[in-house]
Amino acid sequence: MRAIPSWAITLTSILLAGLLWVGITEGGLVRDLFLPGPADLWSGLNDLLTDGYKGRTLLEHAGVSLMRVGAGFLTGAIAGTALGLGMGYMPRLNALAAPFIEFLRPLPQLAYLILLIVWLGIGETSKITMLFLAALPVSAIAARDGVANVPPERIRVALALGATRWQVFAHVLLPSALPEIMVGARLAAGIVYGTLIAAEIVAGASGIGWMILDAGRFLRSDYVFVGIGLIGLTGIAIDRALLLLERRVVHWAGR
Amino acid sequence: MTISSAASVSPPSPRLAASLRRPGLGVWSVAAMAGLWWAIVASGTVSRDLVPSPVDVWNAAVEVITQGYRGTTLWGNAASTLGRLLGGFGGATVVGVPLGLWMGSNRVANAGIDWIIQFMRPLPPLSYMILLILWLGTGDLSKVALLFLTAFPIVVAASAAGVRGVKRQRIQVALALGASRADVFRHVILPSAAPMVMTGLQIALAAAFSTVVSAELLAATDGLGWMVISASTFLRNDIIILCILLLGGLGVTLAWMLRTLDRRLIHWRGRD
Repeated sequence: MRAIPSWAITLTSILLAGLLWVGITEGGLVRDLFLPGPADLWSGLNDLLTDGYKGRTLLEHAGVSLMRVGAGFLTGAIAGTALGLGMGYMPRLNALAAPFIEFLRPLPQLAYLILLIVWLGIGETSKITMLFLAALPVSAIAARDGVANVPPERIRVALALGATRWQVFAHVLLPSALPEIMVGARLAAGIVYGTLIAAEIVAGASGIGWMILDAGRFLRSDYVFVGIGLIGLTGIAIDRALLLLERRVVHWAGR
Repeated sequence: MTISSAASVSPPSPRLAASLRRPGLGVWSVAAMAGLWWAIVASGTVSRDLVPSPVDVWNAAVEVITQGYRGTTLWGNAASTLGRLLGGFGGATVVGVPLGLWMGSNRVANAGIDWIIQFMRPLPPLSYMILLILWLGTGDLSKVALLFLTAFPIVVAASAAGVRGVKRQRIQVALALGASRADVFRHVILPSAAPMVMTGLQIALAAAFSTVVSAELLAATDGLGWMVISASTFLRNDIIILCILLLGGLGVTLAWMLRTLDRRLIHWRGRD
């Protein structure tokens, strides 16, 4: 007997789950308030795409969220990488900055969001500052470790061949650390995205995270499910885009 | 070797290691920052209501410890947060590790379940919090379920990857030498997969810790996250900062505890 291929098992499992979903919702076992059926989801999606939710269409809400992610991630990742490179190259800078970076990293971002809201208001500035602070330590630690893991012989060889400290940095350290910097960037993007959704849920008035919270309050669970689906897909898309970039930029990784 | 001579010639990595072993500068850096903080507030350039001084935060700590905060004690709130965290994370460990090990060693189980894990993993936990509240109510159950679901896919994926990473030859050698399948699992697969499982647990705990605070901000009547949001409505910035410092300390401590456990338990890590 030949073994059943794995994809067939996965497909069967997905189909079974789908059938279970249709059976439960169409059979009236749960109210559509708790678990909307496929038809409800489809009409909910159409509503959101054409009429929108509270003045903005689904894609506009998603656009608002992505703008925030982009602003917070880019500033945080660039500043964090610069800081991390410096920390890896200059031990004294590392000693100065490490306590703050190590403290900031495990700190739940939403806890300091509240403080930022008190200081900067409820608008975009507080959210983007929080995302900046979420991306900063992850990128800094990745860049620092990337520099620290460069084999010392490489640096000595370059110095022995007459390279200046700047040349060593630009031509030896930076290319060697780039794979880790890119991995750090992907990690940071994931954290920033998850944090933003959480921030929009706790304190927002627009964006996809706020939409699902608000829809949930009005018991529109079809909108909630559509929103969660879109959040999941967007998260995967961001990760895949950065993975693609990583393969392009650091084509020498592992060699 | 002095710091300055080290900085001028020798390559960075040993110097970095040396600087990590020498905490002196870091302590000074934290002290200088606290001093700067105090000086800025004392000079009156920012409103004391917006930015309390370190002394204010210290006084808030004394006040909260001795008199409690709005009918709750600091320890009670910390205990609620930790209790939820342990319930969700512990549940995810108890269910997730065996499931992941099973998926790693059984192709059919993996093919049937992995798509669910892969679907859950990129979802920010708070996005389905509202559903959990709808299904399970606003009580502790929905929060523990949220933390369970936060940690679960990470734990399962790491455990399964740990088993899959075991070298085929090792299993074949053990089988050829007459080991039973149970022996192979106990003496070959488990020790080889354990480092990956522990790494997964550490990542999962960090994720759950971040999530528990968000959940408490959104819907709770106690816990350190609730204290933050409650203090913000009364503009008690000293208490907010106190809670942030406590949460940071708690996060660092939890991570350190699991890392220590990892080092004790998996003493063979990296010597494969």
